[in-house]
Amino acid sequence: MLDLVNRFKGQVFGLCYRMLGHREDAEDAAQEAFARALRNLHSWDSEREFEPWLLAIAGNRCRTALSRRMRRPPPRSLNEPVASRTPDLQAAKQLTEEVNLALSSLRDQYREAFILFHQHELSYAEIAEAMQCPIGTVRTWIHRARRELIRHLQAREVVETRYAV
Amino acid sequence: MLCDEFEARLNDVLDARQSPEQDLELQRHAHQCTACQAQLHALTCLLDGLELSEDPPLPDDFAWRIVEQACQNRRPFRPRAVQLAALAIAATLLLATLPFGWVVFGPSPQITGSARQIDAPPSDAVASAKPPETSIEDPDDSQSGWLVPSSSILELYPAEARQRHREQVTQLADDLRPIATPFNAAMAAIRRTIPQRSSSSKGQPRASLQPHRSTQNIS
Repeated sequence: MLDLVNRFKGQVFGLCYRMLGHREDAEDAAQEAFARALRNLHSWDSEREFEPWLLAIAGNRCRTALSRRMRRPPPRSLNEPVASRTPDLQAAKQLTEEVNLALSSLRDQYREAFILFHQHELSYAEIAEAMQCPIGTVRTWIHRARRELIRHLQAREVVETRYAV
Repeated sequence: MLCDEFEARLNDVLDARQSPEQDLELQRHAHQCTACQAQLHALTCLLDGLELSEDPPLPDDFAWRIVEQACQNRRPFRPRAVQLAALAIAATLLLATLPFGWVVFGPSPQITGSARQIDAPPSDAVASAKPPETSIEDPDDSQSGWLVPSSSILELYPAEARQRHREQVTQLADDLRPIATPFNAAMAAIRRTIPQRSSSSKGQPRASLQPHRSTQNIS
């Protein structure tokens, strides 16, 4: 059981952190996700991949946490970019902060599908199974997420705007 | 290539997990269209930022906390289940021993009479003992008690033992009374499955809903 948690805690926490944008909330959601997974381990189909099933549970926990959060102001940790002390890392850190800020502005479904595809490298079929929706819907969500993220970065002037749409 | 086609092809390349910078069609159009070039550049920055972003570290005891919580969430053993299991076992044992008990303690005058003749000890108490007032059990008589002991056998035991036996039977009847109704239903269902004989079905065991009445003093 301990090995199972250690093996997948990075993926689960990473998804929760990207979804919730707050470390403590992500930690709680990840803990809840593992607790549910361990409690319902008997319902996992061994012929299917374990990671999509586990990430599906984590995604559900994140959506529940987001719905409970409602109108609470977004966490500051991913809200505004913070200048790095080291000049060499400033640009990279600012870029990552802007990307995280752009992600937080997406709809929950768009953000989750985008993260599962680009960060966790799940296939469309696996994402569809994790999010319990058709593959075509997943494809639409990811394409829209890309478009909105690009526009957000251009609006924030993170990228050069002389070529902006 | 039009700009709409450019966006569609860009998505297809990304879906296939290929690099847009290595797609000649996309590069050729991007050199010709400033808007699409900006879009391609922004996408590159997006993917770079995503790759550079790091998750904050988890606490060292994260996994241990989860395992500990999983162990604590195990359901506790329920005492009520033990009570129900004990009642079920008692009912099963009673069902298994009833035929034997009926033969020994049954109110059949033929059996009791023969027992009195065979087993009755040559004592004054036996000679002066009155026949039991309870008649042969009517299966439909819910007032009848069950396990009515034969006086000829109990007289072999001292009064204290007979009293203790009565108390134990009374306690057993009280404990099993809650399942008397389903027990009777089960007996009726079982009885229906048995082919009927020419002889009557009198004398079949039947659980009583009434408090067990102590047998009269036969000493």
